[in-house]
Amino acid sequence: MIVSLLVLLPWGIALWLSLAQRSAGALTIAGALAEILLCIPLLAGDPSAVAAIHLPLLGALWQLQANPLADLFALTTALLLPVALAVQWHHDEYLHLARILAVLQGALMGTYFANNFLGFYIFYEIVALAAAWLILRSGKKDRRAALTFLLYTVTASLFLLLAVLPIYLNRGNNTGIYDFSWIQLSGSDLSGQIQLLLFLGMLAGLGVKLPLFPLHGWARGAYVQSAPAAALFLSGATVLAGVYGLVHWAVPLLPRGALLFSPAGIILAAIGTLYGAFLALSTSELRETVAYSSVSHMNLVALGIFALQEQAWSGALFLSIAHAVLAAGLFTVLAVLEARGLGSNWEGLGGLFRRMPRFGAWTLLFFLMALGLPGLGNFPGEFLTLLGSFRVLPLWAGIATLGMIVNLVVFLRAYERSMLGQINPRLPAQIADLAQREWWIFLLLGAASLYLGLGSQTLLSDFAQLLPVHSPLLIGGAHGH
Amino acid sequence: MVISATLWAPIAVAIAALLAFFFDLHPRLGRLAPYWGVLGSLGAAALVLHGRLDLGQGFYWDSSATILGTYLGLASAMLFLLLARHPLLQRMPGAFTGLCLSVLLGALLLVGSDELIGLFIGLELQVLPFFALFVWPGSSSRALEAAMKYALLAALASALFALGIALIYLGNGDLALNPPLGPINGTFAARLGFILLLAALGFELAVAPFHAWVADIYAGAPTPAVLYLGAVGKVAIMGVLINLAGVSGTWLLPYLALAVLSMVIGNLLAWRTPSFRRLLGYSAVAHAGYFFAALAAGPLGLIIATFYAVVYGLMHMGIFGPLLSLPEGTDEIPWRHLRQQAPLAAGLLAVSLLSLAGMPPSLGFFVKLGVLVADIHAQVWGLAIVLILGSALSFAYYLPSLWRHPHEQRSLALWQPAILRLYAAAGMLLLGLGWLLFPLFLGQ
Repeated sequence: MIVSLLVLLPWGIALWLSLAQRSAGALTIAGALAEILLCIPLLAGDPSAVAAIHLPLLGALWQLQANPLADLFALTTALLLPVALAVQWHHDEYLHLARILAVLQGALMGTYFANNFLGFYIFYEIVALAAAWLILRSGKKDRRAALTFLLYTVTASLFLLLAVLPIYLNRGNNTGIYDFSWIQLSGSDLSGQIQLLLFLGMLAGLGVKLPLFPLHGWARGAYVQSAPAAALFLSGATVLAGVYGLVHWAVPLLPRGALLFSPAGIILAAIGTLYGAFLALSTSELRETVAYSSVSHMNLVALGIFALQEQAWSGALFLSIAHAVLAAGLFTVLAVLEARGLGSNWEGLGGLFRRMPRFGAWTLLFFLMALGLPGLGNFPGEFLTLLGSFRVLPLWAGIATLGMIVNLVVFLRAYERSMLGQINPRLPAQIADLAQREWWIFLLLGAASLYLGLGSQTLLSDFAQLLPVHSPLLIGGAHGH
Repeated sequence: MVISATLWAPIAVAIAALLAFFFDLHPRLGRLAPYWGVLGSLGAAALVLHGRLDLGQGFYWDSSATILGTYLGLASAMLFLLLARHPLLQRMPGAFTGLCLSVLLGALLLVGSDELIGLFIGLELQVLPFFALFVWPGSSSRALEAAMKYALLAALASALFALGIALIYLGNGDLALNPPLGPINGTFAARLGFILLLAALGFELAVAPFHAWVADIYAGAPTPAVLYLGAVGKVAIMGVLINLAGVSGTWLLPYLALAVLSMVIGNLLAWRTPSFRRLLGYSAVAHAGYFFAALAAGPLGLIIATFYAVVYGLMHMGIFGPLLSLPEGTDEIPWRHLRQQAPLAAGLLAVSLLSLAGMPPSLGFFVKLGVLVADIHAQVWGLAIVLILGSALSFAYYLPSLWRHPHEQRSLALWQPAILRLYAAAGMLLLGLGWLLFPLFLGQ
């Protein structure tokens, strides 16, 4: 019941907004807060599940079920929406953006809770379409960026579909029951080689959302051209759909394929981490740096997942949640700059700290989080991921660590170029420091970051319980503890 | 003489078509002609259902033929209802109705007949009326060129079809679609004839490499005629192809080749086309390819292909129904005007475009999923991969046509009767949520 409501409530709000066509800030905020409240009983352990729309040969299409990881990701998504809305508050595009974000949020909730692959796929495609629409209609309204994003995700997710169909047919042939539900699809007896091929297909579809290294071509356009609030939600929340898909669908459905792919996956993700960090180093504007560092971090998440090792998995999942907070913080920084008419181009920045000391201090916090300072949100995730994967493939885990070091350089340099040094003569004489709304956003995000960094044990002990749910085989048969 | 129940539907439509021409005797009577067409078409659907699975002479309504026959009747009825007040039907509505009913008659012959001669008559009956419908008085000047091209190529296709029948007769000594001695393509001559049949039908369905005419017709011919061509004519051709694939045993190579060619060529051409109507023509080529991809997958593919044919017809109606409200010769969609003046029609157009692209959860997605399942089941992996690459590319042209806003004129008068609104609402429901009806067809 609750899980259905989590999907349908935002969609209902979006429908109402498009029919009513007038500004309804209160409604959107109330809806976003209601979503957060709805997540709480789930986290408290309510085993909410529904199964409706039974179709012959396909199974129950609307088959939603709560599980611990989905609950956490749902809560993260629900928490990000009010931040995104607050960032864009009082902006011309607010109504439009709120509508698309609501559609996106509902679809994301669907991807987390869907227990029927076809249902998951449908939600996943709606996420892709809504995200493309978001890029198309916000910020610089760049059609090319939207189309690139759409083509990457749609092409890749068709491979995802193609890869699952043989599993479906195999299970159907063996059991006589043709059904796309998770429980039916898992446990196929396909040979390792075929599993490897199919895993590559699924990986293409799911990895593109992260984005995994060779599939990251859409990231720059999507994160740089859209409005900050849109980019915030895209890089914070929609990437979670990809992570969740890997953890809940790809690995459990094709355990042998995942194990065979593991070394190659680690190498790929390590290259991606390093490559993303280098891209972030050589940019012409702060926003590109943020975009590429997000790519780099998400590749580290992928590294942890591919390692198929308990610590690495805990680290990867932790990092993906911390990354949501980090993305929110960094894109809020960019939104603050944009709201004051400052571009994020390096040539227009410099010495801002003297004009906006409060803003400078908060920026420092999030930059430190991004470079992995112990005590802040990113560190436990990065550390565990690297530790876990080091036990599997030390050399490549080491290369990924290099990526983290480059990341450190990236953010220190970015801070130096934007905040410190001489005041850039191109800056206007009067720049307002943080307004109250912005101050509150930063305060909440900073608190979340500190909680993740200092109180990580509570979250990590959760993961210890939830991992066996997703992959009983993994803990026993793969790379172990 | 007792007429078997399988023949009732074609006979009823033939009589209705003949009588329809007499409605032109008086203008006031003429206005009722489209409603006569509705009656005739509904009657055809009912009689097809009545005669299904009956053994008769020359006709057999098996499961797929019944589904398609019923669909053809209902779709034709819906189109008559929609077109009843259309400006193009101001002149000679009786003749228009009669010609359309002849097309329907041809379509029923094509779908239900199990004799090659019956197929030939059906093909002629459905091709000849289109020569006239494409240049109906009141259509644009481009229409004449389009109709001329269609006439030339269709005549060529008919000749090929006749030659194919002759060769099959030479090889088998029999004109039955399912000859008593072995498969229809058992001998060399029959196999050659079979290829000619496929080529002729390929012309009619615009399968690459026989697709040269399609973009010109889609762009030039009057919208009501194109609407009828896709919703009734092409679906009937798909019906014959399903019957032919059903009797050609395991010989799937021609289907495979045509499927790959069509998907690749259709999608590439559509991708590079700026004009909306021409784009739809090329996208029809791509969809013919997806249909052939289902046929190439053996028995399971035949079931899927039947559904594909029906859904293709529905999507075609979903695209060209709303286009009726725009003036003839519109190459781009004036979205702003359409959204303001006819929001439901704009919605149907958008849903149909998404459905053509295969966006879940539209009907278009589910039939494409079916084709994929059939192909993987038959282990034709290459075809499945070409299919997904093609449909991924198709997003690159369907969606920009959704958000491309042309430089619009200040005002635009749209044709928007109440029936179009109803049609649009029903169409959106059907294309968006039609999959809820699957249990009716695939009941466990």
